[in-house]
Amino acid sequence: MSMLKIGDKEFQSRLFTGTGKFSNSALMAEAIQVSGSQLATMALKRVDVNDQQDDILQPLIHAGVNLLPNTSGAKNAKDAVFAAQLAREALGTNWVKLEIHPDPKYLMPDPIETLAAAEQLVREGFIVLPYCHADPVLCKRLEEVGCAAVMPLGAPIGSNKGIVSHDFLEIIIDQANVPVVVDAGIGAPSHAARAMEMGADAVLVNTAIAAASDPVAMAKAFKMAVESGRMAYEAGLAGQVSHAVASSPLTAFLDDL
Amino acid sequence: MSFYDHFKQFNWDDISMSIYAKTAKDVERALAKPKRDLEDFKALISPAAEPYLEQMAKLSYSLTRKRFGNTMSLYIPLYLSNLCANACTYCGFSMENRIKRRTLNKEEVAAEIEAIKRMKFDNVLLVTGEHETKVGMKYFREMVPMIKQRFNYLAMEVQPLDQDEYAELKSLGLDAVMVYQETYHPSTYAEHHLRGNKMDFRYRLETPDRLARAGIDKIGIGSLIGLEEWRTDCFFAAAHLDYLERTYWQSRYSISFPRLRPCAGNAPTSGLQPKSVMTDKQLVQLICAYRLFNPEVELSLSTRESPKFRDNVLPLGITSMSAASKTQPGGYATEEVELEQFEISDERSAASVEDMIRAKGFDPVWRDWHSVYSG
Amino acid sequence: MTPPNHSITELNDATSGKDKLVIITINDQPQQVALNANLQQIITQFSLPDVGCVFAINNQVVPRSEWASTVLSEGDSISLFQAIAGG
Repeated sequence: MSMLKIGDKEFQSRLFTGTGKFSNSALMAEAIQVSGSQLATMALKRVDVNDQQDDILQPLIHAGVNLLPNTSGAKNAKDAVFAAQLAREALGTNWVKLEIHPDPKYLMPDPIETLAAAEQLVREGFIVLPYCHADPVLCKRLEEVGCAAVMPLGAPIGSNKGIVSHDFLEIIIDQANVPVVVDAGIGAPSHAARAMEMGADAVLVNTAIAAASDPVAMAKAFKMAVESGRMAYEAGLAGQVSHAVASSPLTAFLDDL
Repeated sequence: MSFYDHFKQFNWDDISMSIYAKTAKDVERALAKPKRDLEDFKALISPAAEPYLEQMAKLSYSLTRKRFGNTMSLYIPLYLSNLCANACTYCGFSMENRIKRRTLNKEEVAAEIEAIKRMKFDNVLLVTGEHETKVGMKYFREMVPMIKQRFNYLAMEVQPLDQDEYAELKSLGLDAVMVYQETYHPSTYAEHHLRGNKMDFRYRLETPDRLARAGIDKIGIGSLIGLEEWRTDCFFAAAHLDYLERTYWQSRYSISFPRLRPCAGNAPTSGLQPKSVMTDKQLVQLICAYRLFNPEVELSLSTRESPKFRDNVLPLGITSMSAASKTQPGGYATEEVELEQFEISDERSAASVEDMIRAKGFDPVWRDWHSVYSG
Repeated sequence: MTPPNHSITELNDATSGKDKLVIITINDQPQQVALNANLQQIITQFSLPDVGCVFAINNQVVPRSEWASTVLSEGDSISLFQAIAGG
């Protein structure tokens, strides 16, 4: 299977993972390792000095997983740019997952703030992976301002609904000149496989793994699903026969010419 | 970066071979896919697809209805000048041909406009030979605004221009530009373009890039079928379209399929034989292949083809047609026939063609798109 | 945290002048630090984590290379961020 190139990195695994919602960081690290994922997201938070957090970074770095800090918590472009700058300094990477959701209920991404932040962050030298709605024009605009990939949602964050945005993802995948990573909403390995069969370059999965009864086993299931979906895509799926309108012969006239 | 950089990577002979190597299985797979790529296009224009023509036609018919409904856009060419500084072996306007050269002045253009307006057309294609100095930007600056005042949609088919020239013409009302590469085979191209700026293969090839960057609404491309092995040349046109759509996603495109037609004049234009002959059946195959490859692109058929052919091909994928065309300057206002650029096959009046379109269950569209907001 | 019984000015007047104090906030909590203390010293003073984290002063990121040379002033707000789990 082909390698995935984003920005300056190459990935063997097309399964990206989130680190959130796990019971504990040991379990998180084990699940991610089993998943084969080479890119994991994390958030940045103001530390409460009296309450030491689990160190999530060491196990990931130890496993060779690339870090993708996100800007979650940002409600506008200004916050997101600040968050990205913090992350760059904290983690020593200029990769950033840009996510701006002013809507705390459904966590829908703000397209206008995202585009503005993306433009600025690209100028400041970041490798920007923007999380956005499955809006084909928005994805082209994000690509044009220099984003290294686009991350359109499959369904609302945490909903596990699958590829609700299928028809729009098809358009995005068709038109994109950068990798397309389907992010959010993937609830089952079959969803991930479907996204890969459609031609997505990668998927990002968090809740479906972290909230499973057995996250480690689920991580392995996702690994297999992403690989099989991609293999199917590269092997060239046979389509269904579209039924044309049956009518009288359209080309018989050629016999008379 | 332009299409030229992408084009350099293709090898003509390899492409040819791969087209002829396509099998019935490749064709069947292509037909079954919901989205087709350039490899599928190769299969669909290959000899292996010939037995599948009826199936291709049905699919093409279906796809075209889905996107375009039952409409048929109509346009008319307005030849402003037959002055030309190029010597092209296939064209009646070649500078080597001793014909009466004419460039319409304002009054003459006005007369043409009146004649055209009486025929109901609202979409005009301005055509000239390629003469940079005598029929160049100065002339266009004068004529374009004047003509645009009377018509809703204005296209041009003239010599390739620079990007800023296109941008200027756009501000004067230009909507679309047709620029055919003639053949995508560089050395064959050189054999047919013997003098003048048109000898510059690359500049011509990069014209659609300049057009898109200048923000021109619609860009028309295509090969002159017959100058080279037609399947390979048409593949390159499809590859060109594919590149343009991916790179300039805000522009729209149009494909034409001019088949080499006899044109009178001095040798070598008279008696020029096509290198590869495309039969009527193969032209239908090509039209369907384009539609199956790209459900959204405009497919345009001119009066080069016979009435019977046009009438029957109309529902199969075509979305734009010319009618009542005269391919010489002043052809609408005057009756005397000077040397035409090429022979017309369908000489029916606009009204007859309109009746035919309706009889076939289609709605003739004179005014394609009303640009209310973008001027 | 309760404010000191004496104002900073009183405290400063009462000291020898060598160890003047200023009040800054660290993650919104008021803290006393020496006048002209730099960020590195403050990190050490409060045993703040210094790996996988980042400091911003008044919402401006301070690169690690500048910790020793960045001096705090009265009223400055230090924010300490660390990576945590997230999607």
